[in-house]
Amino acid sequence: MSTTLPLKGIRVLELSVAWAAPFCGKNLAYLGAEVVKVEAPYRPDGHRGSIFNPTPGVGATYPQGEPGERPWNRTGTFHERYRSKLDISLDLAKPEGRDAFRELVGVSDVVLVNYRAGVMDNLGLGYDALKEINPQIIMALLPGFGLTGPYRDYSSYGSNLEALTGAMGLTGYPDRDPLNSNLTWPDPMVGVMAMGMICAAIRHRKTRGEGMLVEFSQMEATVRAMAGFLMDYQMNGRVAQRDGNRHPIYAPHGVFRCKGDDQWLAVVVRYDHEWEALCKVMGKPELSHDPRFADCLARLHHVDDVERVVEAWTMTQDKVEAMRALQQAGVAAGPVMPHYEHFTNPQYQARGVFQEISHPEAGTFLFQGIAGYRLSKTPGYNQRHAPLFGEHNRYLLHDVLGMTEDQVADLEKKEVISEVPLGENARSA
Amino acid sequence: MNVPVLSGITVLDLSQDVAGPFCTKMLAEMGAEVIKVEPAGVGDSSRQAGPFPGDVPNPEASGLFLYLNTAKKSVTLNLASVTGRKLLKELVKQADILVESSSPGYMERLGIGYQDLEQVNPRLIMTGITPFGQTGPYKDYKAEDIISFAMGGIMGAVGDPDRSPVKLPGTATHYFAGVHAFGGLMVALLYRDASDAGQYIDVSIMEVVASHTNSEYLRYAYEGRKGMRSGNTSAFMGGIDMVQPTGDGGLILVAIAPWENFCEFIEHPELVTDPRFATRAERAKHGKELNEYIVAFTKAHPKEELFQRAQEKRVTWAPINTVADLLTSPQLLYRDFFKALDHPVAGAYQYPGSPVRLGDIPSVYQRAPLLGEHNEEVYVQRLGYSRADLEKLRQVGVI
Repeated sequence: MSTTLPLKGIRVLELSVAWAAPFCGKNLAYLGAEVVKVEAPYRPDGHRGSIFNPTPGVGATYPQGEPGERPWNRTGTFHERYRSKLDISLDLAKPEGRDAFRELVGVSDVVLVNYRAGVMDNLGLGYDALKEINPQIIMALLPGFGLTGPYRDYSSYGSNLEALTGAMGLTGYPDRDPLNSNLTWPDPMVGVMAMGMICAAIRHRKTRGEGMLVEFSQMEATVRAMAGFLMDYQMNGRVAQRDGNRHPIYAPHGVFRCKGDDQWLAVVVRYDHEWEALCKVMGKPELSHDPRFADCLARLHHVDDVERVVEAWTMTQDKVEAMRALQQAGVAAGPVMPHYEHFTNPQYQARGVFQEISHPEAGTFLFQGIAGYRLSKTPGYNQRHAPLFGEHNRYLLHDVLGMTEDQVADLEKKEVISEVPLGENARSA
Repeated sequence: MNVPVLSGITVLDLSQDVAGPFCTKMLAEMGAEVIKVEPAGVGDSSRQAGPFPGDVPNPEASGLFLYLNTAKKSVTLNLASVTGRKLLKELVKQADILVESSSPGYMERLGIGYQDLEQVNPRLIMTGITPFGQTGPYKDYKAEDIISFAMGGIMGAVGDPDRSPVKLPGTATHYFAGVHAFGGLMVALLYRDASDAGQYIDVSIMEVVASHTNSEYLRYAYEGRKGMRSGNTSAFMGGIDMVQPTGDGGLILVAIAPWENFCEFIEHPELVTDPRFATRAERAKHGKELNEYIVAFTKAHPKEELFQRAQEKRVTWAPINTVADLLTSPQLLYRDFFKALDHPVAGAYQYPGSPVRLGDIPSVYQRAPLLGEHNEEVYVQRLGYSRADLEKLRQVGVI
């Protein structure tokens, strides 16, 4: 590829678990930053799956369900979250590991971390220590709750943030328990916000003359997506309730069963003329004069009936054809697209959303390109497959830091670095 | 030096509703001067959306608008008029960033697409946020939040297997899109510093949502597995019900990892070595039995106590709160997350602040603008029109 990479020349050390920091790092890497995943010889990233007891079908995803000889290099989730990155397996629990890390900090721009608050400080690698080594360093910390407050040491992942922020209480069917989306949606939202903040901090470094600590609270980021409900509570004392897919003002607003197994079409009608158009497409123009449906208030009062007549029609329709017919008539509609239909979606194909990556131990698969924002002059690309465990130990220690072959071999002997995971995997089973 | 990171950056915000304004809200918090360019007369569509104090509609008092547009300025401008477009180009000359959310082709038809504005200001970074992006067979399709969520490929995984897929609360996908637009803009700004080149950023909400698919799409490619939504049970969680009742009538979200800590926490350390739960695969088979241990424990304790004690054992449980609980959250209060802002029409409320601390640089918090509040400041003081000119422009409906 000959495209200009906007973040070329920026080196990022990524100390990450789960998804928020990896999502951030993936975006940075796609746009040209050299992002180095730092993982421990004794404790590989959880997404590499169980090291010594890989169980296809339950835990990690393997090509053709086969863990293979080195299962830690073959898991789908790791491939997705770490594509375009490099990897060093470095034991920060050992003094030699911390020394090497400090040297890497000296030649890096960003240290990106989403461990619990306090973990880096406990290792002696907090911001105050790192800026002594490199005053230009930008340290981005993405803990669940920030670096202060009674929850600061608590662990979190997207799902429990949904619960804590009230989002989960607003997700699901009115006649059942609150529903966890299981999407851990705060993670990618925080991840891409962190990418933006890191870029702003790098930019600002020139003015300021030094780097900075960029501190996130993932809980606070999640609350911000819920602010409309919070304003309503303050303005009117109203505590919003979950209502499935319904909307307080528009009906129909929901998903409707289509022909086939578990196939659905989302349909939204805002205005009377859209309802009229929907009725025509359904072959029932008379319904737009039916007093139960004739105006937007009537449709809200008879929302059960509205949904019944729409679904009576969608049940007989193919979801994609129904979308086309409705969109042509000016009605907002689109199918619930299962992830396995991504690769054949005409919109994605026309826009080249998916790109092939070949992995030496897994094969060739399609991966999404940029995460929904395309820069016309500097679009970036998937630069390489997710790294093998410890694949860049030598590159970073020898080529970048200038250690001798003997020094690198010595670190290997002391199990400070390793190209295969060592010992019992803390995350096994 | 406590200069805000985006001081000196001028942003024209032509966008409406949630996604674009949420993006430019972040820029304003970071010290950029954000000028909302609102349609003369009506303003941003979110001014018409509630909630309103006392449920009385008022375009100056929409809670959604007030939240999304803090620390911005507002001018009115009728882009359908030649004069309006001339004024826009004068503003573009002095701007760094322009954000808009109209349908693909609309700006071009008015002669103010990126190709036109790039001539006026080659350093301009322009972002268009649309449901499907600026190109492709779906580009002219209409979508709402729920449709973007459905088509982006993740809704099918949310919900109970015997019921329909369900959406996320509010218009979550539009908040996601706003954040992704923000990320793209910061990259483009950094690149502009080095190259002096502006560029165009095409944000597709559908593709933003698709990027949140996690690695589900690989499950099919790698193993041919399609999966099904599983409500509040998941194989990862050993098939237990993740939502459990507490002793004080509340609900708590439970998790079973790390396994040893979890067993100790629910006061059944013997389960650590119980063969029924020895591996993830075994636990998935015996989820019902495991569930009985959990519910017996949760029912015996109040919600808050379970949360605190679980966290002490590094077991990630969480109370299922309502938005009302946020205003009294000890964590959010400790961190001064809420900012009290008074507004001349709507009154004083607590607004969620920035979730990010950039060193010791404070974020910028000011109330949202009234419609056209800064017409004089921008058109007279900035562009040099006289007050008399301004009045004429008002009378012919340009501003």
